[in-house]
Amino acid sequence: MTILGLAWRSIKQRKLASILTGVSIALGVALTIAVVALRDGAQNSYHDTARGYDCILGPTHGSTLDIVLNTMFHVGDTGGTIPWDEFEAAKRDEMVKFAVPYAVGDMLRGHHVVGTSTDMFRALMDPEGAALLDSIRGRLFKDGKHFEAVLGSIAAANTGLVNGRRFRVTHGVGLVEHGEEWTVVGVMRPTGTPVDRGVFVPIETFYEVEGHKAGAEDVGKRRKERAQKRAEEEKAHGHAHDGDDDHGDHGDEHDHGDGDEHDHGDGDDHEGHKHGTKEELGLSAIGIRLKSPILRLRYVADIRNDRGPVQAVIPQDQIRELFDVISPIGKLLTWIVALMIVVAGVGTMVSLYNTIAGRRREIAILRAVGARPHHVFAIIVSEALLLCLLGGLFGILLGHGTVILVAPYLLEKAGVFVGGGFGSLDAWILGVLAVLGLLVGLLPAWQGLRTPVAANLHPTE
Amino acid sequence: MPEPALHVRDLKKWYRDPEGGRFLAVDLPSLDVSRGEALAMRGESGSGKTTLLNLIAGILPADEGAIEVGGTRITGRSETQRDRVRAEHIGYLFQTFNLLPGLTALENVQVGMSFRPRRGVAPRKAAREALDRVGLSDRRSHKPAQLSVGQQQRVAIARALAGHPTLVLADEPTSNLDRARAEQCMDLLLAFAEESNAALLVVTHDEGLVGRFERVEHLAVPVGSQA
Repeated sequence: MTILGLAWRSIKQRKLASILTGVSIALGVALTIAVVALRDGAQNSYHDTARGYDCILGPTHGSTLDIVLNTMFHVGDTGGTIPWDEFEAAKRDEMVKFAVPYAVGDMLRGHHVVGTSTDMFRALMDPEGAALLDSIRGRLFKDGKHFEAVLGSIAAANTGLVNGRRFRVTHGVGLVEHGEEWTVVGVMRPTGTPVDRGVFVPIETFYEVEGHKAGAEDVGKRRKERAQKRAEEEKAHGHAHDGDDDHGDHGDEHDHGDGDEHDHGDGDDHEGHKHGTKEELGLSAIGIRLKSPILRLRYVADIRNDRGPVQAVIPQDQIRELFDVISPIGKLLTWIVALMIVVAGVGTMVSLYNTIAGRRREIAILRAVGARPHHVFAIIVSEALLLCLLGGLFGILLGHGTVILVAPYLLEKAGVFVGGGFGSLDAWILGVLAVLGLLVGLLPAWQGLRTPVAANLHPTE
Repeated sequence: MPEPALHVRDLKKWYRDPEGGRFLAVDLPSLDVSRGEALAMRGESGSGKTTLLNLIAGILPADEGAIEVGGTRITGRSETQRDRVRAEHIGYLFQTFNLLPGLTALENVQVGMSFRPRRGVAPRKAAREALDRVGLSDRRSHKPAQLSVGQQQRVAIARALAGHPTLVLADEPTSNLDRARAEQCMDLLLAFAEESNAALLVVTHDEGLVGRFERVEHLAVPVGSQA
């Protein structure tokens, strides 16, 4: 019978105490794994998603972080709109490979409805590097005024919509439904990106929504009035306009309040606004994928130098800055939960130490049948080691299991994909627990070593 | 000439009393036991019978005198060295059996051989054979609490003899058994020791059993104490 065999039997003999000790270690380990997985998962998920576009064009008066979060993570809003002409200009730019328009504001049972173009599915990738286009079951919607939709996997699951089903959307988080109906033509496989939570429709249909049209008429009138007023002022000041109408539009955009874009309407029904829909409503943002990442700084510099109505935001920079702020808290939290493992280790020591008094007879018998002091020492240290390692293994399984269980919830609620794979952290934890087990076993083992044999076999005469 | 298993000369052991003085617990001028020999050691209460066995087993250090087991000196050696001699040469049968409650019958027998040098004998196989020898082949996986008192004693006998020790020490081995079981136990112990060619030293005050031994010694209560 080996030392480990005797240690294991001793652990089994004290089942309840051993289980409680092991569970305390397992909880510490599970918490550590869960916190690290969530921290790293969040960080990786945000960084991976942020790599989808080289930059995002958003309203100048919007927060740069808000622009990124709204466009790429479907959270919050961009803080205003940008003119449609900026999208046309971006498409024409020779540095740009994809210019993807975004218009948001409507909801489908808690999921953001995103007006966009088919280029979004070509520009964005899933975590494995495949274009989102390849993840669609069914087909992609057609650009233009086709009331078709592609749903992310979670949006589809939560709404129960499948290909061929029709749906209406509500304005914002309100209960008022728009009258238009879209038909689901594609449902995406889970991609582990925030796209899974979205409902994607052709941006042109977004401008066709009746509720949007009505508001747009007012906005169109206000914009037209402001443009006329401005033209008069410029004329009065002798300013020769070079015919670039965008110039005037840009100035007007700065007067828009948050969320105005959803009060806009389709200019097609309104005389003098043949293309007023797009121009009046504008866009929430434009995702830009350049022909080469090397061009990014030049492109961003060009946008900044233009001093137009848009600002260029590099998503990776924003996410990095965000995590620069919050990562020290994450690290501190990790250390705090890791300390729980040490505390559990100390608990193991106390538990073992307390059992030694009740095990004197057992130790004396072992010694009487031939065990040397170092055997007794090794048996007790092995017990501590086994308890720590078994608790650790259970904790690793528990931690990863927890991560796997909460991952869909996090993806749905926060757009964060958390992977639960085993990795070097698990090996590190087991290594630390092995050392901890050896250390916490020393004191009880020393006490066991000093057990007087004869006195504990039976009393002396 | 029989091979000597135990050789004791001028053995003395003192204990401290609560007043700080010392009293003599064991005083044995001479004792020799050969392999294959069975010896009963009688003695009144307080004569130091158990202490004598613990001294011979090396569990307690002697204060004076010499002990050799299987030709190896125990006295004057470190605790670890005494432990090694015990593991290699001695089988110990306790009054209260002293089986480990968390182990099965087979494991209890096996554990007795786990700390001694391997001499080509697989401990598990030897433990099985020893349990077969004491008639407990169908109780190998039973824990002590699942065995009767007599069965526990037989497991203890198997543990003491499974490793074929030079010397078997038995401390009041039948005191917890009724007459019939005590007789059976002693039959088994004597037969097993003879088969193993082990020297058998049994401490007892059971006069009924003493008669079964070819040799009986008396351990007198030590006289005098030293302040």
